[in-house]
Amino acid sequence: MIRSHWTFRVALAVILVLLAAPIFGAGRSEKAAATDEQITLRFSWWGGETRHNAYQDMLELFMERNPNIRVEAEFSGWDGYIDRLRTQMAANNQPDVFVAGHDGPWQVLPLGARADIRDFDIDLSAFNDVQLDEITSYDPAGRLTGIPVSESVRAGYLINATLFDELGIELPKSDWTWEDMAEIAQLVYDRSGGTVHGVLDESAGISYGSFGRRSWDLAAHGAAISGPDGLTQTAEQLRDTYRWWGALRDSGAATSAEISVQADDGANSPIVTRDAAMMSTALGSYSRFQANTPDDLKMIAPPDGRYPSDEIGAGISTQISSQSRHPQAAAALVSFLRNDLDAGLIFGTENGIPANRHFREALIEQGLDAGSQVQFDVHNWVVANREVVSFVGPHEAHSEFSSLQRAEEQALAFGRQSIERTVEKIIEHARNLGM
Amino acid sequence: MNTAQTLQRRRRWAEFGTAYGFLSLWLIGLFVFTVWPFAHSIYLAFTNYSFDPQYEYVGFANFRRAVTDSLSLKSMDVTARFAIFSVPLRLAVALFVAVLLNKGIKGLGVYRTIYYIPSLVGSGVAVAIMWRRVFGRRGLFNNVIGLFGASGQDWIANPDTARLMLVLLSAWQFGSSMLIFLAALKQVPNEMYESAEIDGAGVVRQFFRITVPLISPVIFFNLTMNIINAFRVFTQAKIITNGGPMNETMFMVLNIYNQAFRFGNMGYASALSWVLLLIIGAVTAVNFVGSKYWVYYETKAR
Repeated sequence: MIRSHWTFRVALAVILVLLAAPIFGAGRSEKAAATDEQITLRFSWWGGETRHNAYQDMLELFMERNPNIRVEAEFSGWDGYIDRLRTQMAANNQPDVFVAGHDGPWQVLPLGARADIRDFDIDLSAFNDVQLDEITSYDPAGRLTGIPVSESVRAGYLINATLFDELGIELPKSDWTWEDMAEIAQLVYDRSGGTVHGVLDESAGISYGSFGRRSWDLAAHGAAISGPDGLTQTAEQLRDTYRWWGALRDSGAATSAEISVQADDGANSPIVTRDAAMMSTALGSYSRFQANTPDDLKMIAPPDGRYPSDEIGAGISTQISSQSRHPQAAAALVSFLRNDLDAGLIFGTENGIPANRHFREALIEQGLDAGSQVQFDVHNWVVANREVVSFVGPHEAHSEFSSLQRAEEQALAFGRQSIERTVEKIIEHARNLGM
Repeated sequence: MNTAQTLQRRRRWAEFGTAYGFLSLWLIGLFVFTVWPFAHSIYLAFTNYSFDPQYEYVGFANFRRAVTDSLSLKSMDVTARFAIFSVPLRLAVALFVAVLLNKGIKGLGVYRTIYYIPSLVGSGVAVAIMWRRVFGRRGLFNNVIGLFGASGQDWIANPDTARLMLVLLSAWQFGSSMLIFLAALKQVPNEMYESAEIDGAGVVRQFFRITVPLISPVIFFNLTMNIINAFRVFTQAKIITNGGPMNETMFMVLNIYNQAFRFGNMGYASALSWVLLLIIGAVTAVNFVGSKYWVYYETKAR
């Protein structure tokens, strides 16, 4: 009896201590924050290895200068980045600072999750007012919900110059057309004896954001496949797209279905594996592709090119969580990332051409590396030569629709269904989703 | 109530208190992280919740969609086919290796460990990436068959073979089932094999007439657990194929994940989860009903 009571009391004491530990722990943490003794921030971004390394170097420098602030990096590849941020925001558990966009697929993120940058003491004088106004325009309350990362044309076409050289083919010029691309792609396939396709098939339900497909849609049909009110293109326009790309696929100018569906924006991309000589991607991804191959990569603007405004404007920005427990420290981090010259030089053109004009000037002054030079060249050419068309946001079911569209396009590319059936099913999916 | 009864009652309560005191941390975890989300998902399944604080009751609409939507039906078909092929294959490989290891070979512990390693690391991301590399277009497998003059394909990207690659990965992770079989095989009395041998029974006959009936409760256990696990497959499909190509590897759990976290249809995803639970429950019930015809328990007369 005595032993039973004794055991019960010990058990109770252990449980109480364990339950109380987090409470006392939290108390200490708040006290520390209040006295600026030790603060922990979370910062998230997406990208490839070179961008991860650059950000981590920047964070080390920041923590060296701010010994009371520790920054936990939460980084990943592009796939699933928005989904994770969205889930975190739903639980009010988003990182203190994060990199995100405002339009297009980013519209699923609640505006209320971001703080107003103007509430903090952050110098905005080095940024283009047009970009700041653009970000402000995304918020009905007129808040500035982020500081732009880059001032850059976002889409480009990667060209494997080494392959072109080996095959004795002249590199395409910036003012090329889609017909030029088809001819060049065919030439690549023929001259390589069928071992290298000319271009990644943008109609085969490829698994990552297809900048080339949007450029094609804008050039051929004047609009992306869907808009905020639903499907934008007609059945005949969709059929036209699949006929055009299907012809390239059948002749070997574009990649086979097997290559297309496995393509990613890194080591498994066909331009790195030498399965294709050309493919579209984001301008800011150039360094990642180049880091994955010993071949010499070039980049030019997509053919014909009308440029959607969202691909030429502010794009993504660095944002502060409205739920941050340490908003001033978060603001200090954002200010460092986007205003400190040392940070800017570390980051270079990892996410496109920097939005901060002092960063741009410093990069040019110290001499641009090959990757940065490519980005500056494409950017400057597009700004001088391309027509910019205003971008319309996606439908609320865009993400789900894209997934279904991709599966249908894959079935078409693998020859499992006709163009007619593919278009019918895509339209049916859109209808079922209320688009 | 006399004093002895009072003391006994107090002692019983003290023992209960001690037990639940020690269990309380685990119980809190169970209720907060399992029971509550489980119960809450029933509620969400009847709403159109999509991370937005404003949501409505939609009755059985999510359940109707779950059994009529083409992607949902496809995911059920894909998952069922995966279970039908992967479970028997995995059990057959596990039993085969267990029988070999039960032959009293030297270094049994080493072999046992080696065969168990894939099960330890098999559900991880690294193995999934490795699998993609092995069976990709320029993967190890194609290089090996290339040595014999055969030309391979991208086994992961091809809609005809993508699911088969995941079945093979599942079969490769036979280690835990194998260990359970091995333990069961060691319980089969050797005298039975000796008697059968004297009576002229061959190895195959001994296996089917002695081994299988005597370890049938363990086969049943492994079968049940593997069926449940097959319906819950997620990581391999997410990493290796991401549901593609053509949704040929869009397993039910991957579809639930996509609906919840990619498309924001949390209410619908909750309904799909309950449909999955009902399917697993029904399959397991059928399995139990069928077991009385082939599972032999020594304690029961057949």
